Amino acid sequence: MPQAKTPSCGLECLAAKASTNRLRELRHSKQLTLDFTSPISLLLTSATSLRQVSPFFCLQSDYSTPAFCSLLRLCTLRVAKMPGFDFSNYNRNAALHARGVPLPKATSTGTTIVGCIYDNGVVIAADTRATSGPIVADKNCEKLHYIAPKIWCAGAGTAADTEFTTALISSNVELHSLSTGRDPRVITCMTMLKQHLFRYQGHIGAYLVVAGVDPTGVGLYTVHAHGSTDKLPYVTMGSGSLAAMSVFESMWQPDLDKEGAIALCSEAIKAGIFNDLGSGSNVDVCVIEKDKPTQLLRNYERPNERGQKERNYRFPRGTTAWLNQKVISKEDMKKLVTIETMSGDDNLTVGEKMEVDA
Amino acid sequence: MGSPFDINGGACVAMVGKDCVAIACDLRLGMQALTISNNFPKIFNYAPSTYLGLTGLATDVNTVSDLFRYKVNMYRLREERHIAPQTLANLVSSSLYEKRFGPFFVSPVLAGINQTTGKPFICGFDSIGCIDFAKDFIVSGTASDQLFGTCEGLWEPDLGPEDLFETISQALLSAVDRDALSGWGAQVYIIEKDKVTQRLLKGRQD
Repeated sequence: MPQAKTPSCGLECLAAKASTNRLRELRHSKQLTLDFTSPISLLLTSATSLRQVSPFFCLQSDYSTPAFCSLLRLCTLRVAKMPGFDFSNYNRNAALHARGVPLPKATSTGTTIVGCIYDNGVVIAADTRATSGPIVADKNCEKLHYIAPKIWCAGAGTAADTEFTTALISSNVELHSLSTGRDPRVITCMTMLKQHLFRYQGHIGAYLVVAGVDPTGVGLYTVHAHGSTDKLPYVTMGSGSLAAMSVFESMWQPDLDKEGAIALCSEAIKAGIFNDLGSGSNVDVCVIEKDKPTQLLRNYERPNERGQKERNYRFPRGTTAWLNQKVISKEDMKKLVTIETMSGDDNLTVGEKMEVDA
Repeated sequence: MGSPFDINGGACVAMVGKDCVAIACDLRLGMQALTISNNFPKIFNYAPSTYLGLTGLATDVNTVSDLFRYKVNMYRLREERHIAPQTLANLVSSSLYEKRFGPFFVSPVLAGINQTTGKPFICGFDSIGCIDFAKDFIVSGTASDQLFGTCEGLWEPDLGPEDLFETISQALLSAVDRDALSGWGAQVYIIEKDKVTQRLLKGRQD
């Protein structure tokens, strides 16, 4: 039995390396199945897998000396995580807020987003400005989010919330369609979104336009952060919604074709870009049509191109005074890592393959 | 009391050049108007050409930088390779969003070169993990308003490593000179495919 070495340095690394080796053994002996493929699950996997494995590991592993067990427990305690939101800083921040500290400024998409159905499909469009207070944080951000191949979402409100809510629902919609063996429906997606948002009572600040084509036809909905929804032939949301709606109300007709719908949505977004301070830059369009692949027309119109600079402000080299420098070359970088060539072990390759239900 | 983002002060900026990226920060650590230290770097290294700048509340800068050191070490042990800048961006984003209702008061800036593609990559985040992918530059900290101005004026596409150093340094120095809470020297990293140059800038000490 190998003795646990005194952890003079790299305490966590020692524990972690041992546990990853143990994990790998378990994985190869099929006692443990882990999915390392999804980038988002990467961290949760590391956290949960260690927690699940460690009791077993302490009893059975070769490293079951008391010193190592306590080390691992220390490591495990720090790792143990539940899925979902983590409120560990909440009390600290609430205490600060109670003493008059303002809440942090999140990037918001003070936005214009619109959607419009036509004879054979649906078009959604968005501007591309992200703001933080009065500052333009991103001049060309993407507000059109993928849910499923034929369901897309335009997001306004707190940028992080629209991003993560749509990613979560996209994931659940995919699992749902895999388990039912049917194409996902827009109304399913809208219901999942509204139930998720209603549960959080508006604290998740996502204001969405959900659009898509499914076996039941064309769908176009708006979902508010508190969980209310609307179903209309043309919709607008965000701070530029009034400007955009004025375009729809004066120009919309019931028998639009695809080109007409794209032009109308683009015009509505431009009304937001030019008349609402929270919206700006370019127009993104997404066209979802029956029996046709979805088209994402990124920067469909760029009405705010910056003019070419006539001269440049390039500084002569040596302008900036510096006190000292350190150069880290590729050779130095190589010194920090060891390279091992893996043997052609069959078990190894089997373990890396994705397991399919028998 | 002011915002937690403005208690300790500090600024950070990242810029894209031709086959290179640069990231720079000031060195001040303060308590409101009182300067505690002029040697508080805010840029941390997570892989051979991947750097993360963290501005905001200093206690959270320390906590978050250590948290990512731990998470990146775990990634490296499991994957037996270095983390790519894009992967780190998603890791930072999901880690910050996990604390959506009790955030860390930090605004991270990420700069690196993807060793597989050789392409430069920069991005910034708000305190709850919304990623800002930019083709030009990313700013954060108490001098961010000033940095937006200097960068918007001085940055141009396809700058080589030497010219990019001058541009990012002048952009940062000019910005922090107009911010009472930032400055006291600066640190610049110029990241190329097979070389990283770290320079300590001579900055005003007032």
